Amino acid sequence: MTRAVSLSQYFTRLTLLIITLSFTPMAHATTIEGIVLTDEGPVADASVQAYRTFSDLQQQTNTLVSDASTHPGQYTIELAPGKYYMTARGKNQSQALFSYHGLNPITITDTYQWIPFFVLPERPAQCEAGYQGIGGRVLYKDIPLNHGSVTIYTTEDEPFRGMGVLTNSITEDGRFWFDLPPGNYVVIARQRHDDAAIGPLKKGDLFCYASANPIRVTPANSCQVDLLCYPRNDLDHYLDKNALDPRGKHLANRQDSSLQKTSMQDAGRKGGTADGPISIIAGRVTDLNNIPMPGMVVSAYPADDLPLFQMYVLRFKSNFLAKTDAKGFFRLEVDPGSYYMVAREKVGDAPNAGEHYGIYEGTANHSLTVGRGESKTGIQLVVEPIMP
Amino acid sequence: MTIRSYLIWLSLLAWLGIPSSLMASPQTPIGNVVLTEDTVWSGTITIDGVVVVGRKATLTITPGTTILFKRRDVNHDGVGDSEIRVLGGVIAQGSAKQPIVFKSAETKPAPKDWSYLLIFTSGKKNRIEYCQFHDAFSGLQVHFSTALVQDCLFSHNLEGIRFGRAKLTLRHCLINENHIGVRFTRMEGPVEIQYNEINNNQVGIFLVPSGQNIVDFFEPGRTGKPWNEGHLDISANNIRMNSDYNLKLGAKQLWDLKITNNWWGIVTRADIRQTLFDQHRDPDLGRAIIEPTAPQTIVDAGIRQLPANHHATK
Repeated sequence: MTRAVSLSQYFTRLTLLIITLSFTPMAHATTIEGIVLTDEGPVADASVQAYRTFSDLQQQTNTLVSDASTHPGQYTIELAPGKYYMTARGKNQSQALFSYHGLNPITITDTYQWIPFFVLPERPAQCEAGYQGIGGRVLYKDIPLNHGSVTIYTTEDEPFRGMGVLTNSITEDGRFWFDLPPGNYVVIARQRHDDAAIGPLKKGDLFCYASANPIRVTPANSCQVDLLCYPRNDLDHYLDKNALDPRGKHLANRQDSSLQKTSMQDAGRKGGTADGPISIIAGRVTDLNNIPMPGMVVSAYPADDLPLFQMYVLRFKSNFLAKTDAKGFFRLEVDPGSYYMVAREKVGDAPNAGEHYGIYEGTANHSLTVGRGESKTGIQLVVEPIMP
Repeated sequence: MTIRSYLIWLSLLAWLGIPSSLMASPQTPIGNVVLTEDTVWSGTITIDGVVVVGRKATLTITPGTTILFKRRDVNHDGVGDSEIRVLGGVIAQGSAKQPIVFKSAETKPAPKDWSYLLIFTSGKKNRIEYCQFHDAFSGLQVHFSTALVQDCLFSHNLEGIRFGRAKLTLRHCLINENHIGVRFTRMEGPVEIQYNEINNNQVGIFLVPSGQNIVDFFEPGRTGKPWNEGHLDISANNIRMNSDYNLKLGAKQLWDLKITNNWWGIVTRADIRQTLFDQHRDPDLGRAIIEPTAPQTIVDAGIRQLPANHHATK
């Protein structure tokens, strides 16, 4: 059973429930279980929260809260099928702990799932007069990361995947900084062992979410925040040497029903909505000798409002990304409009020496236009290593 | 271009196996085109719009060529739109006696009549030698590319030369009478700025993080960590008589920068400091570390065998 977090919300929800039961059949609820861990082991008296929207999470409204299990750190929660933003909270002595699940929003089906949470100390954002923006450090087990990327999202950018509004490299001492206009932002860092800037996190890759998210930037205010990380799906690496291993004899069953096999669309948005059919830009990336280039990232940058090519546009957010296949082919589903097209080895950093890079050369301003439902195929992008 | 020299070049191109059709007609303005094959320019070339040198092409500009840019301002930002954008390669090698000139096509030329010669994400080793740039927003911009720029004149532009991440050598150039002589938007390299004469600009050298920081992927953290160690070498230049500052650090340029062994036009440290804008004037900025300074004028600085008529090219 789930419980409401406040009395007023309880009565509101009860009223809504009665009304709902009067007119619709009751949705089938699925049992979700899991465990909440620090690197020292299970967290006693921890709880898990589920929210239908990030807005609910942000405002702590319509919260569905887990029941405690008889086992330390374990929880159970009944959820109707659907998508949920799930968090976990607990305490280690007086230290508040928090976790935002890296796969949010998690899809709950009618099948039992085992969902573990790695909770980390809460770190509030420190904001004061200064350069306007957000900066801070990215840490794993209190040690600054020396590589990886940090991405800034607006709160409208749910589910906070892909490059967001801005993506920066983490400096060698684990720091980052973004100049930002006033607004509310979600800050997430990721460290992939293959150094890719996009794509699903793999086992052992680090996911780092600021517990202070969303962070509010106000005029002439500088916010500093620590992002603490946990490894994706790698309990062995996460637990300290002397930690209590919580897995026990049900490990196999739990792994079978865990989120390990959940796929994650992390490579950008697809075009086409209920408003109409999708538009497609497709083609091939080759080198100077027309040899196909597999594994290149092709990005489409909106060019509608710019009659002239402007370099800085290539540093903005690109909603539409695709990787070339083994034969150098790519296919992008986009909204209708004009796009600057770029192919390169990676995203999320400025071009650097030796990187294969190329821009669409079909027009002098490097853009092409695609109408609603139209397919522009045969688009060729030529790349070569730059800055010899 | 004389008929004689035109025929000589035509013969040379034929001998090199380059189709004559790739040699631009002296009279026909070109613009909003992509050069997809190796191309040779000589004589007078008029550009009206954007000329892109495609990634598979190299633009070769022969000594004595004049490139004229017509003023057009499609987006009404006060900057002429005509430009050359090099994704492939550019070899513009003039000579002391026959410099290559890039300037406005207007009868009353003025800074910002045209945008720039832009070398952007090039995979070639570009060479700009004995070239003269006038009336531009920036005479030359180099970003994410490699270029050797030497014995060039940058004069009467808003900015003489601007560059970001680049492998750049800028030497033996005369950079004068611009609003900003040299503008560098990333404190990284390898960049060598040596033996240049940088004078009579409003600001001689302006070191400032990109004005597009909101979308800058690479701004380092605000750590105060010197960023240029071993990368940025500004030495053996005459940087003098610039009306506002010989050297200015822009907003958010927080790192200490080593800029030693230059001649600042004056001897005493206090007087030199008056020509610099750094932490001494704004405590939020980094320091310009200028000592040791050159004891006297760097005699080798500036264009070698400067053509006597360089002012007449305007």
